[in-house]
Amino acid sequence: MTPAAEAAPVPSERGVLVQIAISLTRDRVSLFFLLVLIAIVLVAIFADQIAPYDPIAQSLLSINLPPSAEHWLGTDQFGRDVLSRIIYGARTSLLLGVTAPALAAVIGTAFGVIAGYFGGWIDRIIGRFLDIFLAFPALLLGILIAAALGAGFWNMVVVLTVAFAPRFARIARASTMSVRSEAFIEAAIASGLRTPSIMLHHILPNIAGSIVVVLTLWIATAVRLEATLSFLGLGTQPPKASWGNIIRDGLGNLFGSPWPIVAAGLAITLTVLAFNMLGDAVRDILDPEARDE
Amino acid sequence: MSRSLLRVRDLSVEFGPAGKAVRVLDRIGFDMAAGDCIGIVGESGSGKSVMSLSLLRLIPEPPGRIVEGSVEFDGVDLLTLPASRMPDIRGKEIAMIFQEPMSALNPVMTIGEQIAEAIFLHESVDAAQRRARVLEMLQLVGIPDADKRYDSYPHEFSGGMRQRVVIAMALACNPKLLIADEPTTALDVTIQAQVLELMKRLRERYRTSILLISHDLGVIADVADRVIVMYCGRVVETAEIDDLFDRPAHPYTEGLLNSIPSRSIGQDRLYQIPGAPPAPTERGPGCAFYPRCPKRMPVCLEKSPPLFQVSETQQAACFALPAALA
Repeated sequence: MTPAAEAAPVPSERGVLVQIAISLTRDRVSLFFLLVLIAIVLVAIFADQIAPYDPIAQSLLSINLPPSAEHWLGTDQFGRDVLSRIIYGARTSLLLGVTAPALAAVIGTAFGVIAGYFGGWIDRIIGRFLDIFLAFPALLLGILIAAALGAGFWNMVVVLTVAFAPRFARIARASTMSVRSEAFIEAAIASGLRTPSIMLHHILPNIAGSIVVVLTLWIATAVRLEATLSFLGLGTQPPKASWGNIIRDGLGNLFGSPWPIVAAGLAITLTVLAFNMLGDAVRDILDPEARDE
Repeated sequence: MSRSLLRVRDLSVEFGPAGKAVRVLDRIGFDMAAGDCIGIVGESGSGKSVMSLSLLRLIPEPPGRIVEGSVEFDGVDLLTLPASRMPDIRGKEIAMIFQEPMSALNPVMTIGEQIAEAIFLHESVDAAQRRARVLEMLQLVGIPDADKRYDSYPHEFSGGMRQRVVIAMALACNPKLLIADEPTTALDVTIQAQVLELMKRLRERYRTSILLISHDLGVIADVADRVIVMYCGRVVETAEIDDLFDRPAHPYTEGLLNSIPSRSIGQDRLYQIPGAPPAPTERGPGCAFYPRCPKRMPVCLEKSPPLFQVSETQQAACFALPAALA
């Protein structure tokens, strides 16, 4: 062993996620939205402890109340506490908003990388399937599948995964094709790396940035679509609370009692905004060249 | 000459769909002993890179196709080896350095990891040993502060430094043969000299055989002891480096030598071989150099000249040679 090697302790490899977290806290805007997101996640996790009332307990004596000390955000037409419903709604919205895009990202990226790496007939077959799925707007596909499978949370996960996966595949395929033509891939083949290692160690890290950015965008979209489908009655079923069906329930009495709709709308907006802002920040962090600036 | 490390025979490569295929390499053959350094020279499109890639079966198939020949390395024909065995040869036995140091490194991986990856791939060593080996390689190729540089990313390096990293990667597993495809073309002259110096040092130290591909005879003269001159996918001359410079046998080699700037001092204009190589699709049955050749004869149009023995160590493919006329 050389002297230099003895002097150098092997550093424990810091995970990518830790690096991202550290970098995020250095920028004020990112930090703010990171905190917002952490708050939303905590609210969703500890809904049972935080919520002042049972979100589905009805009370005919207190319907359509304006905000007050007992009901911070008022009550809806069944007398349910709106704040509690928003808090429990965060749980539904986030769980779906993260699960479906994450599943879609894994499935879509796998197909995209394979298509982009091998090209040829493999690419053509995968490409045609993507075209078919991409021809449907996500919402329409969602409505169709929800109508076929029935409403409900896990059906919505399936719907959104199927709707989103081709979008990840397309991004992954295009990014893979451009990385595939780089000289370092040829060098990796020449140094004896086998195809799976090349995909995992050389292609994936190079396309991860765009996938993560797209992922955060689709998380935002999933939160929105959950709201939309629930609003249309195809998503989360009442009395279970979700931001979408809070808006749906509130629509009947929009002018008399706008609180539920405003509150749920703000919750959706804030969540979507937070994910979008963080997506941009994460992309900058994952790109070593942008990181140094 | 000692036992051959690499024996290439009749290596022919075609590109394009069957029937309309274009022959890019035509029955290339040469031998290489352990510790040899052979230079391959030729202009753009002469097939140098295709040849180096096909030795490791790296040409994209399709559209490329190795149609015949054998590449015997250490007694094993690489062309008949199952494709799944090739990764064991690549990097471990035969390593390759590519032309563009700016893009030959993965931008999102630290240089230490990239060198380590090659070592980890072919040898089972623990993390500490691996890091030690990488640092040793970095020092060997002359990267200062190797310990700090281990965790640097490629974009923090200059072109010359990156090429050193690429060389370190290639040498990480101590290969028997190093194929260097235009290793200095993208570098400026001072860095070029340093990289060539490095290659010479490594060759002396590890007895690594080097196949150096370049369009620059000066670079080849600096490092190689034998030269193979390629033209339009064929070997037109092979000779010891001194013989080639003193007694070039093929008119093309002569033209190449005359186009080296320092050799035409005193003349008004730099010599230039007239014309350009014919496109692979336009080659007739005759010698590909015919349209540009000062010594052309009617026979050159009819058939392609085989390699004639000029001396014990020199061969050339030309009908105008005394050996051919005799």
